[in-house]
Amino acid sequence: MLVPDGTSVISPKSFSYAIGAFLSITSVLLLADVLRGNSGLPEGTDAGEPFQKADLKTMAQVVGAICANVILLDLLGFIVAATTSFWGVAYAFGARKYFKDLVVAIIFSVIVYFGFTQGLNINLPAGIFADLTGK
Amino acid sequence: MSSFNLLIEGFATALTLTNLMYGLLGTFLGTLVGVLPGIGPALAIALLLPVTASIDPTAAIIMFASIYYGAMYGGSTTSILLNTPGESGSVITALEGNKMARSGRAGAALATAAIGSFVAGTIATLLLAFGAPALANLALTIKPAGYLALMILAFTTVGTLLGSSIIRGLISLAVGLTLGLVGADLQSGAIRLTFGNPNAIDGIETVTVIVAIFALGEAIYFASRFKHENWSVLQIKDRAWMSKTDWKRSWRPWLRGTAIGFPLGVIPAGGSEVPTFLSYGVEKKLSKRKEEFGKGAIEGVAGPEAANNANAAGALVPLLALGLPTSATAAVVLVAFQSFQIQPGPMLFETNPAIVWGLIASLFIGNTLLLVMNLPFIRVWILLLKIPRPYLYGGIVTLALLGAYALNSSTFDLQIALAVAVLGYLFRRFGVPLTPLIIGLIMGPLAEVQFKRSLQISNGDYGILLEGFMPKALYSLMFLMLLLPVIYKAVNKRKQKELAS
Repeated sequence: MLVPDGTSVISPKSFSYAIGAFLSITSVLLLADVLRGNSGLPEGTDAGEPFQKADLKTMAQVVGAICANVILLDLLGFIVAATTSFWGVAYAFGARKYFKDLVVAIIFSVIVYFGFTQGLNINLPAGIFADLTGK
Repeated sequence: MSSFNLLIEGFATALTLTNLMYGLLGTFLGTLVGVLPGIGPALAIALLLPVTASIDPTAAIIMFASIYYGAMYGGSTTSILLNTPGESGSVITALEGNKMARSGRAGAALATAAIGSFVAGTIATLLLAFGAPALANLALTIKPAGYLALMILAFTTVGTLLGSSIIRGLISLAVGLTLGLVGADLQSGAIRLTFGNPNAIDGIETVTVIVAIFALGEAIYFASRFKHENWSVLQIKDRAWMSKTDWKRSWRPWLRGTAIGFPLGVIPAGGSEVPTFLSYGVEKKLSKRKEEFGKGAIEGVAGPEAANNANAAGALVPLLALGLPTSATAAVVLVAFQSFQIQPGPMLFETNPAIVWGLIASLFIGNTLLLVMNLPFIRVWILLLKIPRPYLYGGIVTLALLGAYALNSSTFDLQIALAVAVLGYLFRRFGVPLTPLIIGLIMGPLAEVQFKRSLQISNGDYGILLEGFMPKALYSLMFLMLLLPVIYKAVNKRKQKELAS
């Protein structure tokens, strides 16, 4: 912690230490609880209900679509990033009419882009469409 | 001026054309997000925060309050017609209401939910209008140490009442408090927990965390169970209305639900789960037709739905009068206030009377608008449930990422969102409640302010934190709450042992 000199009697440390202590204690208690075999079940699951394995493939696709949006936003602009994440998530959740899905994704992204930049004056990166959108 | 006169003035504020339009927009958006599965009221308000930065504070806050009420109505539609409830307060409604819809009584279930919400909302808003100023007056005498005790008590109740185990609620709270520490300390300028990253000096944006947890985390969690979910929307064949017997069976549960929901919203019970469950239990116990429960009893929809709405109004009492949110959604409304440099609390009624009373009046108006929107026009809303699920989630995820980015136009916020989304998935997967994290994140910095104020008064003597009646009483209450379940368990174990031997 970087504490500037000349701070008054009330140091910014004490409150942080209290929270640090709280986090440490709860972590130890949680670890103890898990080691005793109570590993925690999703809400709404009854005890004894057969546990369903996580669908890793679908999960990876959704996380991948989110990552693609984060990376593409600065590189190619909002419209490309949003189209990619919309299409990617839709694909993960079982959309298989590739062309129709892509058209829906593009229409969605374009409407959102112009709605926000023109309608609400919120800046979004134009990216590769910088010339077209006049930014 | 009396509360009554102020309320009349509030109506004058709320009924100006601009404010009325924003109220209408809010009820519309609220119902929209309530009906759409996957978006709850907390997420909706968080997503709209960047958008409202340029509009008038009164209008914006009226809109947020209307969204808050609207989402409650919309949520019941989804839980009745779809087998998955949209938000935790609708779990019970889904239980009985979905069974009613399956046996062709969807119209009656929707009607009792909407009318019950209206009745409960109106009574509870009246109680709010007269209760909140009274509480604020009392609260003016509370010293910083008392405030700190009140906040810590609220932390404890929210942490312990939710989720599958006390320890999981508390760990969620601890993570939230820690995230709240990140960045520059406002009073001293000390830099905390940024690990040298200059982007983190401004702290972690609350909106980013909410959006990531409720939209992205939810999408990942839903993906993990994708193969096992089924998704079927039930049709309504009849009109959304009730028969004479339905009215007869509904009105008492509405009133009882209101009586249960409102007080549990005022005290920090952590949202609408507890009151809806309680109301369901009461209705089941009092009913002459116990055999119908679990197969579609109208009382099991009427009571919990009323409790849910009364609870939402009740939560506004401590929010407005003390600045203390008791549910995740109320916490987000607090952030909305803060984004306009308005701090809810005892002073609010004196410093911003136009906003508070305009807000309360707009709740009455919104409640009436919602009844109209949800009974005759129910079929329009049901169309929303027909949006293909892949597109729905594609849209939610993309809008959530936009919301996380748009506030500061920063990619750093998006990276935080991604990390919090994974955390949100893990919390859901292992039964850790999310509300304590949100409450900790938003209230942690406010608690620190009270902590430092106390110490400033006492010149650094920690004794002041326990000085006076209020802190002592509140901390005792807190320890009782933490210890009672432990003692109860131990006694039960001993009894079982005795029985066995």
